[in-house]
Amino acid sequence: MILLSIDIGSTYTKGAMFRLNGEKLEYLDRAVCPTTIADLKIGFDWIKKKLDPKKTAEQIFFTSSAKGGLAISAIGVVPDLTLMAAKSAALSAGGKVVSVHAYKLTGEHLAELLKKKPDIILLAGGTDGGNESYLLHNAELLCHLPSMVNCDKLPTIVFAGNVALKDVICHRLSEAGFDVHPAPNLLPKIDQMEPEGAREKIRNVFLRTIVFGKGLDAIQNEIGSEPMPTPLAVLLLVEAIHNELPDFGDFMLLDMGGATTDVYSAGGKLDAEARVIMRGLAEPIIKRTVEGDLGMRVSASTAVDSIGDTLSEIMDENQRSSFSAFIGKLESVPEYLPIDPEEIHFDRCLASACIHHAMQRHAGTWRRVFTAEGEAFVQQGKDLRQISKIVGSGGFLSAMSDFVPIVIENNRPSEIISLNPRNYTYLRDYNYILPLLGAVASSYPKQAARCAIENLLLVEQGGTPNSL
Amino acid sequence: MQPVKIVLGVIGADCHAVGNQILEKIFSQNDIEVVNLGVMVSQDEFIDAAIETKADAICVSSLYGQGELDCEGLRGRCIERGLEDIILYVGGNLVIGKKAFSETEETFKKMGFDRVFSPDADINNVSQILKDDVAGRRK
Ligand code: B12
Repeated sequence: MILLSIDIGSTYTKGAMFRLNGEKLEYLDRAVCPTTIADLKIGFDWIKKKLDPKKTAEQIFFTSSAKGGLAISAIGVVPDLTLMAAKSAALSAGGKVVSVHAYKLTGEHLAELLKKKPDIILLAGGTDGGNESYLLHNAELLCHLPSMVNCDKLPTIVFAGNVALKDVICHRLSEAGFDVHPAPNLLPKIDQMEPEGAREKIRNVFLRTIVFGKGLDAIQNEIGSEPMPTPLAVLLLVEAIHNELPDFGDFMLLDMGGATTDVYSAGGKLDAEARVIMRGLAEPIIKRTVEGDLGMRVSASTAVDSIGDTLSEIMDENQRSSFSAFIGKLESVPEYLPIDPEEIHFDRCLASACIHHAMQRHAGTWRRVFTAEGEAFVQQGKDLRQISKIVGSGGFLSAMSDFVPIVIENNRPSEIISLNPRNYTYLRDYNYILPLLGAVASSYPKQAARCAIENLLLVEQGGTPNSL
Repeated sequence: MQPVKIVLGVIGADCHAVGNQILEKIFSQNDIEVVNLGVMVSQDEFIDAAIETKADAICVSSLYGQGELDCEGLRGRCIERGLEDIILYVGGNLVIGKKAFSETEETFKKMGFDRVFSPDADINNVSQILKDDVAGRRK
């Protein structure tokens, strides 16, 4: 049976063809064209025809990261508790967190939220039977939004807070003009995160808000299935590899694009060792983070703002001015590909620094403390030090046959120790098909997982002329 | 006025029991209703008891030197679980090493405690302060 998987990205539309034969999924071919923004179906049809002119495909999957993914504003009460749970749920639903708000919202928060133009507001707060006052205050303030924007731009609200207020708040918000979707509380008990309900609601909103218009609905009608957000497809693939192929072991996946650097980890230690005190909410086994300020093209200049220190550490003094010129070029021409050796070097420096910081933000940390029993560590987040495989995907990482991301050791005398992998092999998604396989994993997890790892190529360490 | 009610206990893995008994005794003598959880009490046990008994305040003791670590995040958990107005007191051997008490006081206040007491605090005095704080909060 022939399967097609097509991903409509913000810049490129990509497709891959596979043959499914019982337990085996075989990769056959791949095609790319620029995304046809005005009518997405034109590019979609072109890819379909290019890959499968004889129309042999029996099943077609499609994913979309149109608009760069679903923009979500997360609102919670305490930063480390319900806000953290809301952020984590938004990311694991394949969303992009554009703003976060803790405690009581103010007029300033509302203005900031509006500026970020979220598609969804994920409203959390309070355990079940817990806090009510902050939630009521925040809901009441949100009721001012409808008079501040056009109603077609009004974000959809997913309510995932204290169940005791579900009816009251949902009623109040829909009276004010919002489209409101109640979900189970993200944090029903203080140590128990339950993101699935909210995830499902977010996915439904994605289907309704992103799919309508620009030809996606026509595609959906023609092939008879719904699109999936691209990052969710990647998450499904990571999950499938983790569940179906336990021998592959714990791993991380880096998906670096022009606008964001996405980091996934599957596994990692969640329980504490002796001398380690766990703090904060327990993180999911399959964890995703998205760094909207770190990217190779559209976000190149914001990346320089965020991680300039690391960049200047890995670059010669006399290179810095031509580096700035290079970044300027990337900003004005996002599809630019470096030509001369210096620019290629710059591109690699940018990639290394983005990856380093995205991984630092993803991994857990240890903070050194002194107790009555002597030295101990307070751990926040996942311990990824034992992870032995890192997979690279995305335009740049898939193309680079001699680039190995290096996790920069924390050699500064800092109290905070990053729990990133120490010894790992690096594998490259050289056909750049992992996101496309992700959609297939929704129906054929085992076959897609196996096909994914069969299509990874080992990149030798030390192959980087400009390792950090 | 309804009597002031507090939840009392020694936080974390701390098993110093003597001070806890004394605190219960003196607070009670001052007409404060004490829900004493004893030693080795977790943050959530304090909060559970305060929710169930509708207490006005949580009084945390820490004697063994790990108070800062054990108390971190208590205020946030109180808020999420609906106790945003509860009064939080802490006392005992909070200073480790040669730090000045004022520095420790500031650390714990930043964590969300309303008042911080040194080991030599006069508990009769503390009882009066507590009553005043509760009266202010109830208004
Ligand atoms: C007896 C004792 C023990 C006994 C405890 C028996 C028991 N079950 O109660 C044992 C031997 C088990 C013990 C063990 C340890 N101990 Co011990 N122990 C003591 C000792 C000698 C007396 C404690 C006591 O009962 N004091 C009398 C009571 C009345 O005073 P209190 O506890 O301080 O309480 C008063 C005030 O602090 C205040 N207060 C307390 N809480 C609060 C709260 C509020 C809101 C307010 C307003 C006031 C307040 O009011 C209380 C009543 O007046 C003290 C030293 C000392 N002299 O204080 C060390 C001491 C407390 N222990 C200490 C240590 C280090 C330990 C161990 C870690 C030792 C070890 N390495 O194993 C273990 C910890 C075990 C554990 N998990 O808790 C240190 C703590 C150091 C620090 N904080 O920086 C001390 C100070 C000794 C020292 N100088 O080194 N200990």
